[in-house]
Amino acid sequence: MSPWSQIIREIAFRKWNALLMFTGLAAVAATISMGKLIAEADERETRRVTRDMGFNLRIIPAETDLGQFYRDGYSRRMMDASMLDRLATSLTNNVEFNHLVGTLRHEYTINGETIMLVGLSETYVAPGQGKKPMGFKIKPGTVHVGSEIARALKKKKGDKFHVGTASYEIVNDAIETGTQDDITVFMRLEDAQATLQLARKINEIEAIDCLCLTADQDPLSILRKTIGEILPGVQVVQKRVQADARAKQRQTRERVNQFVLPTVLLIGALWVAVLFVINVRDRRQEIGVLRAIGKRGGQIAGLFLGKAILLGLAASLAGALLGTWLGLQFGPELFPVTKNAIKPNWNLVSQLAVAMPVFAALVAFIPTTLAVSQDPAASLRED
Amino acid sequence: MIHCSELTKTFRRNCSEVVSLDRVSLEIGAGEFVVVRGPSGSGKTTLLLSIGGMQQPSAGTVTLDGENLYAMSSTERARARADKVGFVFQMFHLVPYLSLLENILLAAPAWPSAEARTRANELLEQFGLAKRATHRPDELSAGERQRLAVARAMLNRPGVLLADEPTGNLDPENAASVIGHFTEFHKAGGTVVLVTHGTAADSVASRVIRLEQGRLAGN
Repeated sequence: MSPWSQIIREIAFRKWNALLMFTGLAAVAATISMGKLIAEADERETRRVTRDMGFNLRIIPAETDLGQFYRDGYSRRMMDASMLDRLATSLTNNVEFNHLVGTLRHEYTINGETIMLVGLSETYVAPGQGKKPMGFKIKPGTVHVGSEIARALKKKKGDKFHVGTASYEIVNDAIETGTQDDITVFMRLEDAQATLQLARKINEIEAIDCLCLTADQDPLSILRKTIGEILPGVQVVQKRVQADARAKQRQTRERVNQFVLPTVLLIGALWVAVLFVINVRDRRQEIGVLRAIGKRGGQIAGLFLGKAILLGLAASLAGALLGTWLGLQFGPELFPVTKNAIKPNWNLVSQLAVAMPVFAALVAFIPTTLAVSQDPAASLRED
Repeated sequence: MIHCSELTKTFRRNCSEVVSLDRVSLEIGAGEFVVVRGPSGSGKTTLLLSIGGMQQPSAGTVTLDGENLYAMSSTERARARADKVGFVFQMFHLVPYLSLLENILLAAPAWPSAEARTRANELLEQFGLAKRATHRPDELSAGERQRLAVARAMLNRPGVLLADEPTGNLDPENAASVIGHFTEFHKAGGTVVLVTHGTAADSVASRVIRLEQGRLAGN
């Protein structure tokens, strides 16, 4: 009879042993698929929430009076916009900061009202990090207008908005934020430079530290050293509360991921390995008689490894579907801001369909070796 | 056909050495029916397993059809067992999750040929088990199980049957039936080596040999 047929009969016969193996393997697959779904959702949620928290690093000209800076919310000193390019081109995969945006931030008067005018450059992302630029991209000819300005000037999305001699289209809904943004007009850096007649000038580079630092390191001193080596003429100010919150969230997630996956794999492997050892013991005499009728070691190994592969394949599908269902079920409650982005990862399901049989076969390897190397004569003597 | 020379097997138990076979030399010709008798622990099963290529001796040689079994690789020895030897055990050693037909076909190569299937069905018929081909061994009586074990041993038309107390768990009627099957095999030209305490086979045996404390005591 074919080995696969024999394996299936044996699984059906020792159904509890097979069911427990299947459960262990499915639990591993479910944990991986749900964990991946949740981790991705967590990453998105963190990115979104921290994006909404804003940049946490402010790089300003060295001669800035910090008293004035904190009082007014921007530096009255200027630096050349090329400093942004210099910093951006110095980024590597190991940088401690990313998402660089050059800004020109200055008071401006419209219709007798003093507002804040902010020009934003394109966002630079550290190479190889695969991240989308944070913040919003401002298209040419458009502006984002704060809610208080829109209310005072009776403007809404789609209206024309005049700044100096230029006219722009408002592209945002004026939503009250309760921050200085409500009295701010955001525009492209080039437009702000032209409006303020500060060609090729910026007065701040905003960034996010990359949060890769461990809890026992002082991020600010490392950041200042790194950035200072590239741009000697700047000082670095960190929004500590935001930076700490971001770092702690990331570190917590990484700690959980570093602990959970290896632990689940280890427990799953031990669970399945013990069940395979029990299976080998239960089948001592069967192995003996198979030897007696001329079956080779490879054929006997095939019965055990084939069983592992078959159970691994079935468990991968069941576990991946279960994990995906659990992720879809509970993910939206855990990550309400980005819940719509939580979707099944079919690519992972197919990867698990390959990986779990391999995992099961590796786990079954030592018990299979025991089966092949046992003395058949000894088992045939047993009554 | 079978030649044992100075066959010795020792086991290590509780830090002491137990001699199971002590320099046994034996010649069994093709077509012989040999009964091996002796008290428990005299080395009968060890001799049988050694002859069948299942038990590596500590010293000495076993040749089967002129080939030294333990000079072969384990794969070659497995092939020799499959082609030339049929084993029958006291405890039947059937595979509990396979049907009767599948138990017999277990002795065939994986993905058995139509010829092997035909042969297996013939054996089921011959051994009076055809109507129960799809049953599992636990649905059979002891006598039927042993008949099934003999049928499995015969699938590949081996030259030699090695049986270890095959009637030990059977009532006299079933024991006689099993011995009858061995006798038919012997009459058809096969070689039988039968380890037994009983005397049921003495009348058909060409030779009775006796083992005591691992040595040949009578031949």
